[in-house]
Amino acid sequence: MVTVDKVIEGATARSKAFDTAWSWITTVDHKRIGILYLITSIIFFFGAGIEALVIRTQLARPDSTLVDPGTFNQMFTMHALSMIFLGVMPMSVAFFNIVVPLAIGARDVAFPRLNALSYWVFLFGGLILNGGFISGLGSPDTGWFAYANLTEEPFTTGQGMTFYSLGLLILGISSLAGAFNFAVTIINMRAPGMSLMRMPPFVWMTLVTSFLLITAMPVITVGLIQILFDRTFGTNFFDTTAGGSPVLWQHVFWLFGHPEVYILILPAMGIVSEIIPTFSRKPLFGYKFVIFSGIVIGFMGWGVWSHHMFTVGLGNVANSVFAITTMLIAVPTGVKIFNWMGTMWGGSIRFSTPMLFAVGFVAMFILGGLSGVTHASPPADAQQQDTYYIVAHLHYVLFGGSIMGILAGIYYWFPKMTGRMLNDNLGKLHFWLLMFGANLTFFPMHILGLVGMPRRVYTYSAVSGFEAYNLLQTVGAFILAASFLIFLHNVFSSLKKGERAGADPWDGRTLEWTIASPPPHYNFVEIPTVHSREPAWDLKYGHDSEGATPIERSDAPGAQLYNQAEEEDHPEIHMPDPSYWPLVVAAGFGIAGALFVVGPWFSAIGVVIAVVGLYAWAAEPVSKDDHH
Amino acid sequence: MASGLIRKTFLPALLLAFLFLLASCGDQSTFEVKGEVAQRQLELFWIIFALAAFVFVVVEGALIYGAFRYRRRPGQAIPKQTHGHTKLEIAWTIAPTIVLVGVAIPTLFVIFNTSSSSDYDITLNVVDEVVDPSNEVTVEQARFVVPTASIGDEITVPRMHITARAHQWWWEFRYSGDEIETANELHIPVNTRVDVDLFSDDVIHSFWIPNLAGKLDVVPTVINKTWFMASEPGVYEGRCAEFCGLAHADMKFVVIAHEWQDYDQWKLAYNAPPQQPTDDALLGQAVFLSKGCVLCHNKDAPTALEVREQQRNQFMEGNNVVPGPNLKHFATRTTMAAGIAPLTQSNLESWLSDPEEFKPGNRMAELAAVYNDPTQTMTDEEVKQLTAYLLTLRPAVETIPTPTPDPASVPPTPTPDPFAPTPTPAPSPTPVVLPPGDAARGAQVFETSTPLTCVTCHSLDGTVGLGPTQQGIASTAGARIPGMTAREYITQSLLDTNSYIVEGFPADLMPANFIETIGPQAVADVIEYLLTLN
Amino acid sequence: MAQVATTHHPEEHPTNTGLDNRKLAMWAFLGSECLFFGTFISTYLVYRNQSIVGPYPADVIDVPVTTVSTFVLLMSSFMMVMTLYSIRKGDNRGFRVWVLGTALLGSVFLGFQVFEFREFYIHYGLSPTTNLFGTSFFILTGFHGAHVTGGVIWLVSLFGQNLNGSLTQKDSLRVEIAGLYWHFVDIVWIIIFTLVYLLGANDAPPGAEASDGHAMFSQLVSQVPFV
Repeated sequence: MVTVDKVIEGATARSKAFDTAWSWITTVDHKRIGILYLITSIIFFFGAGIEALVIRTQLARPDSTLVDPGTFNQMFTMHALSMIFLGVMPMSVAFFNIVVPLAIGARDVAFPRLNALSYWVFLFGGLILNGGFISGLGSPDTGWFAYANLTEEPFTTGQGMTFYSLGLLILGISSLAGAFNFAVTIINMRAPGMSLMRMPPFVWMTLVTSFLLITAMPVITVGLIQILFDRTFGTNFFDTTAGGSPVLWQHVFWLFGHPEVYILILPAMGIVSEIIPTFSRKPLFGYKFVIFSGIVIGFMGWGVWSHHMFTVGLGNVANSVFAITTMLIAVPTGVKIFNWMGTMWGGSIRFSTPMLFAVGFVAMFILGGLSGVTHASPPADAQQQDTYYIVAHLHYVLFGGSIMGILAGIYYWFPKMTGRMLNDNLGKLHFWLLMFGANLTFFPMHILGLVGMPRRVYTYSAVSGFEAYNLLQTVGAFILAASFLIFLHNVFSSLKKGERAGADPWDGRTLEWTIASPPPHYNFVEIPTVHSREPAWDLKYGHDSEGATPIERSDAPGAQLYNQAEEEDHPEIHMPDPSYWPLVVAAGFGIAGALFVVGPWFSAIGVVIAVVGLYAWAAEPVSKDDHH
Repeated sequence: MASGLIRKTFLPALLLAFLFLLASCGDQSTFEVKGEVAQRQLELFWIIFALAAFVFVVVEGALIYGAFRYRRRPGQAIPKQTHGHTKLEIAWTIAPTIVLVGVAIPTLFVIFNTSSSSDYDITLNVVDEVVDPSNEVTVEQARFVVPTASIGDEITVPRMHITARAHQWWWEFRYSGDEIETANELHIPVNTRVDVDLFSDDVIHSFWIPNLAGKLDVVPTVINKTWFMASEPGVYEGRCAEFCGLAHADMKFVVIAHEWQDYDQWKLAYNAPPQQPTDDALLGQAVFLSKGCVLCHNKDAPTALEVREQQRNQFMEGNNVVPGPNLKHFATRTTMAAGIAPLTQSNLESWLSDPEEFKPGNRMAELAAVYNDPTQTMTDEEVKQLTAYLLTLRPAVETIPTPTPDPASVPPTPTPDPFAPTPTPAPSPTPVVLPPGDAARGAQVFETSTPLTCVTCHSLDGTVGLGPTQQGIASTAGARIPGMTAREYITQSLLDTNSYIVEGFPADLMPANFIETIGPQAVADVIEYLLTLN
Repeated sequence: MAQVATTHHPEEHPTNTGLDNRKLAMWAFLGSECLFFGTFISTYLVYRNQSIVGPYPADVIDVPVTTVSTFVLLMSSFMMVMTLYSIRKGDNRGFRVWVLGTALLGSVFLGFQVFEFREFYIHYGLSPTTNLFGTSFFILTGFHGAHVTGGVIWLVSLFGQNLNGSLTQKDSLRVEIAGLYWHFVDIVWIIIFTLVYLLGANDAPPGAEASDGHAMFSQLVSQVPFV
């Protein structure tokens, strides 16, 4: 009897677990997809972090033989690729998903199933990019920039470049699908009254980023097709013996690559523009200027790519022009920083963990931006290019910038996602340890570069004078890694026994804070009508008779409106049904990519799966009670 | 208060730490400038750094001040909800623009006057005692360039022109007008503008001498031009700065700057005939010739560009040949394996016995038969002999001066006239009696002989290889030297391979001692075989 | 109970711009495609006259033949307009005729392309691996051909949906979106035809014939048939 009971119990438990898993696999809910994005990208991020630790351990001592140069080259290539394409970009997309529909008062994104497809394609793309590790065939080892003609036969053999081009092509499909989705969602699905100039800054930056993705991804797609065809089918795009130009690849790559830099930083800037006003209890200072400078950065980001190529020998005129455009792009960036400080000025700043990270972002980004100005000048850059000075700069803007901004976002919106607070003390410990570790790792790199240590070298000699800095950096890197263990612990413990977050734990100012945490799957029982930039604030606070000093509204609807802790049944609200076809289509792409390594024509199998999936998808109604 | 603390102690401490770190930097530091171009680049850097540091302190200070000043206090009322301030916005748009103009103007000047197209004269003051070596020379020094120079004059620095060819993973330098080619070591005179043309034979590299000039990429299909100048004699480390594959980290070179007079002596020594190998070195020479080293390494310089082209094509087609550093006067070099280690007997022995261990990824370990074909591995004895041989590769008369920090103390030493024609013995028919040969066996030898087949270098179908094609040799050989039959010409060429060098091909490339290595019978067979190739 | 704004179809939700979501997404997609083809076309232009060995465009390109296929593709755009017009009127028969006609003309264009590729390869030995011209030409026109193929499949699918009743007058938007795509692919071909065929047809080995603007213009005029 007992055993039978147990078996039945077990079976039910299993099927319950299965149901949960299945509901996540087939989900088209933007909040769940956002969480899937976040979890997956954090896992890839940790992988990239381990690669960084291998690099740092190898470089801790001179003439180290921990790894051979081949492995080292794979490590720094995969570290960059994973951080950029599997870490920062999808983490930003996670916030697009979690925040944007809530912040604009929509029930979901414009194309929920396409959204699911974006996630699954991202997952498969990430696996293929890591295919070299998974299959043991060897990962790409030519740097994330993969300069032709080093990437051509016979200079690079093996499958590394196949994983590189296929992985990035597939990730590009994911990015593009996501970008179309969010551009349409933001342009078309705002709540009544939310004009463009009433959108929260994060939504604005999502829109700018989406346009950058829409225009930049096809450029690299072409470059990847060219390199893939050169290697697989023997075309001549970058074959110098046939007259091909390796510099063409650099133009194609950086024409994508520089907008990509803003794809990585603008979402973080948007997050910070949300957090600083909330914790300063003041509206964003100079809203229009912050938004406009974001748009200007998006446009100008297209006119600076050759500053990555100052030492290629493009000529004095080209270098002068790109030097000036590059310096100019510092102006809108500066405007943003000054406006964040203007927001804090005269405010009532509460330094909870999200605010600490946001201010940390500003502090680190100032340094990253200024070091960027020093190599906006081609003659100065001639000494800095390809040295650790550049590594320092890019880590101050991508780690000190993007990652810090994203961490701020995680601490800020975690209560909204899960209904529980992250522990603030652990968060602060994470912050200070991270600040210390990051500066210890990345600051000495400035000096190391200027005293002559080049990038992408697997070792250096004992007489070079590089030892002390390298050792410091390695120590810093491990402190940095330790700070993330605290973060992980915080996440897991808070998920179980974190303080319950109400609908509005931070005294928020935007729409997402007017609904329960976590929000019901339909988000809003009633789509709100928006009358200002800060609808949530207006619900809570009014003005005194002079109209300047805010006071709490006596009629604030607060408690009644917010505390829908339980999801109510609203049969009149129809949401799209779950679907597994996005997964099938994405798997088709994944299989096509994996089989390409076996033989290009085997990919057809995956393509057939994807096409069948697409037809089935098109035939499937959005929801069962869809009578059309 | 806390912010005051930070301003008063933390920032100065940081600055001090920064300066301290700078002071402890190594030789390849971009702060240790020893030449015009690097000097201008560093000055520009300091201008930008000063502006950036100023902005950094002001903005970061304001941020920290604001963060402390406006932190929330218990019971504080909700602050005034300000939305912006247009005049402030305009101000902080214009302020950074002004700072950036301050960066842009000097930038544009330096772009143009450090570029290869800048053509202004660099002048030096002739003085009694040199205080600033980047601007001044003594009268003795000046007279090497301008014989009539006297104190108070201004002299214009001379110019020289070199081409640097980058290979995976080493550097080749050719000195125009001087028939000089060196590998991984570039000798230049001080206070001379050195114009450089940059070539790549394979992938993109970058030419960088931190103390002398910032980098410029070396791009295949493009000839990039740059220039630099050294103001003091010395040894300056250079390296490839653009990631170029497995051994990128180990692709270095050294620039050796000599005083003007020392440089002339170095050139004389370079052109002096080499020492003759004896004892172990002689055996080492046999190893060198028989183990295929000559496929990639020339020991005379300059290597014909056609040979470089052929070697590169061989590599691109997947053959085990690649352009290799020439070894002329190898023993006079200070470094080895592309500048990564001092040239010593023990280093050379470990390099030759296991190059992969010494410099991971290098092409010699990857391609050379001795490291890949178990039947051809060198014994320890052979490695020692080869090392001994390589260490005899130096001019018969040692004249190479070592650069000294005090230029005035090196008096010009008289040297034997290296331009005097060295008597080369005229090739005389060697009295060797060969057995009767067989063309069929000869064909087999031609295609299968070890360690190298003849056909590796000499094609049978007219394609140009490392050596001339043998297509139609039976008919063409007779026409080469008046009065010599085809048989006589071929016999002599095989017995003494340097007798007649076909134009466009290097001497000394072909193994020399066939009688010993393959035996008289095989030589005779090959002769018969070649005579059938009409 | 008051009916609040709870419509479940994003596409039926009154959008902020008044444009249907799917249509807006298609415009975004076409914007992306502009950069895609722009990069391939730039590659072609950068590598113009850079081939080290032949055959060169002057050896292989047959402008009159491609003019015919271009005309066919242009006519298919006209048919696409009629397709949309019919479905909007609710004229199912007309829709089926015109949509199949569009797909047919698209297929004829593809047939021309197959013929041209074959011709280049068999008669002139030009393949994507021969030289820079072959590489940049085949990959550019090949990807355009792939887009046309996708369009033909899409049109045939619309035809099938109309047959089984899942595409009717009120779904004309779906036809309109397919039309946007089809016209875009057409416009891209006009650009390729102008740059690769009209302007580039006489590209010869480097140094053989300098092509300056005036010469290109007169070539252009002289090569337009029927003029």
